[in-house]
Amino acid sequence: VSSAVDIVRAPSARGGALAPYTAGAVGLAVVAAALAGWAPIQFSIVTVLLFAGPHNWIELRYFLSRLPARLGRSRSFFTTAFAGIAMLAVLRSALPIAEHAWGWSESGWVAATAAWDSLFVLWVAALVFLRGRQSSRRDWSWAFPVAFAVVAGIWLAPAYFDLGLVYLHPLVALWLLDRELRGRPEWRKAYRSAVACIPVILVALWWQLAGSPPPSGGDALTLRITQHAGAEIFPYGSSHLLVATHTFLEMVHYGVWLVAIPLAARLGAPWRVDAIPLVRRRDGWPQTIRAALVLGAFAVVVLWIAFLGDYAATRDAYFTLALVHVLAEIPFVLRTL
Amino acid sequence: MKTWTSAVAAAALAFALAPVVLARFNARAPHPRDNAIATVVGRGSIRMVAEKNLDVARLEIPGWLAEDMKSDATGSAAGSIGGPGISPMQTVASGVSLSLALVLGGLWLRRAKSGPRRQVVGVVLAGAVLVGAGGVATANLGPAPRYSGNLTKAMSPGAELQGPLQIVIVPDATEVRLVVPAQSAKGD
Repeated sequence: VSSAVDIVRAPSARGGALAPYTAGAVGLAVVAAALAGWAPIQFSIVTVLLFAGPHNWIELRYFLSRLPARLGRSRSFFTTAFAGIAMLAVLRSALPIAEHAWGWSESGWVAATAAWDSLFVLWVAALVFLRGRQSSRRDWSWAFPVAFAVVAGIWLAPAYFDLGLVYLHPLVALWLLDRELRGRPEWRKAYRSAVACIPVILVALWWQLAGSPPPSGGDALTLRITQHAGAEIFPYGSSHLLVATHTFLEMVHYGVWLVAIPLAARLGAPWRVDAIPLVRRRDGWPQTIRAALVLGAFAVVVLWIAFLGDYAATRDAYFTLALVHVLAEIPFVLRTL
Repeated sequence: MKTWTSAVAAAALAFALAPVVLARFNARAPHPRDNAIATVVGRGSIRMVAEKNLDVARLEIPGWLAEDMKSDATGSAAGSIGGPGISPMQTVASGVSLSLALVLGGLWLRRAKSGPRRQVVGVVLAGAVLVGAGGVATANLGPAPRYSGNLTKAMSPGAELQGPLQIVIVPDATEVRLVVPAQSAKGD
């Protein structure tokens, strides 16, 4: 492991020296795909239980390390980002409560989710526009027409958009990792060759599972997992294939966040926070940052205990609250552009 | 330039309001003949099991599916325009958004000065044509022919079985279950 850390930290490395790491990454992806295809429900249960909490903590650590010490010209960008994250997270969490309180019909729920999705897309467009304004050479006002075109599609079929987010979110980490490797061309080349194998693995998985019967077990947890993977939206497809695909992508997401990004982003040891700009700054918030990270670590342990106590209920609660990290990734992805 | 901008703004407003007006006038009342059309009122999976000592087959419907079927059958889940499952409000919101997308895209294009931006527009237009052509080509396709369950093993083509049936709504069930009487070892 230490040699891997050393070689990743090196500004450049020879392509041949990286071949074992590329092969290892692809090999792990193949193993993950095989497990996801063989026992998708069980693999999903175990991976979420083990990695959901820690990967959120690593994301928090990464975002804190990427926040500039002084906002400067980025003030409006980050104000919009944080206000949007808070507003969208509160609204989304309130939807089931409002549905229960007011007894919405199916069409009421569809309209409410479409309205939330529209706000989300317009928030992303605003962030793209604001990011573009930080350079005089860029005009990213195209974001608004594109966003309204997406919103038009959302109102016709909100379920497809939500499902798209479920499948696209795991891939955001791949983009961030690619940006983190900007200064190391050999690493980036090796990384991209490994990423190019993911579509091949997916096609092989689909080829193998296209006609598979639904996952065994008619319990509520199996139903929730298959619904999350889109079995209700694609009733004529194989729900086994859908769950396997989603679980595989989630495993890739966890692997990138837990192993690759900490190495590539040179975050250092998780407990060493001195390098974080907000801590290093003279009038920064070292105590607040340390407290946030300690509370985050505590939340990870609580999540594990809750999973062991009532897995199904904790999984539902987790995926509701995990929306915050999905939203938080967007401004930081845009910051890398 | 100012006149041109005003004209574009007026056209944009008219274009944005058009779907609202059209949606309002196109909303038709349900025709009695609509009831004759078979309607999909729910989707899920079915588990078929055989049990001994049953005197009637039993179809178990989960509570949530029964609610969905009820709301869909009474038409409370969707309106009459825009096809099944799309309410008038969805159609209006989608139309207004699409109009705004076209108007804002047009204004952005109007401000275009450099070559690459026009190339991007060309790519977007080509993509739109491709998506449109693809939509037309695939719009009338049926569901994928490959069946993903194993119910095909239950009966041979052309076979037919018949018997009394009890329909039960099970509040906590997660899937539809068809429980059929099984033949005992003695062949009764």
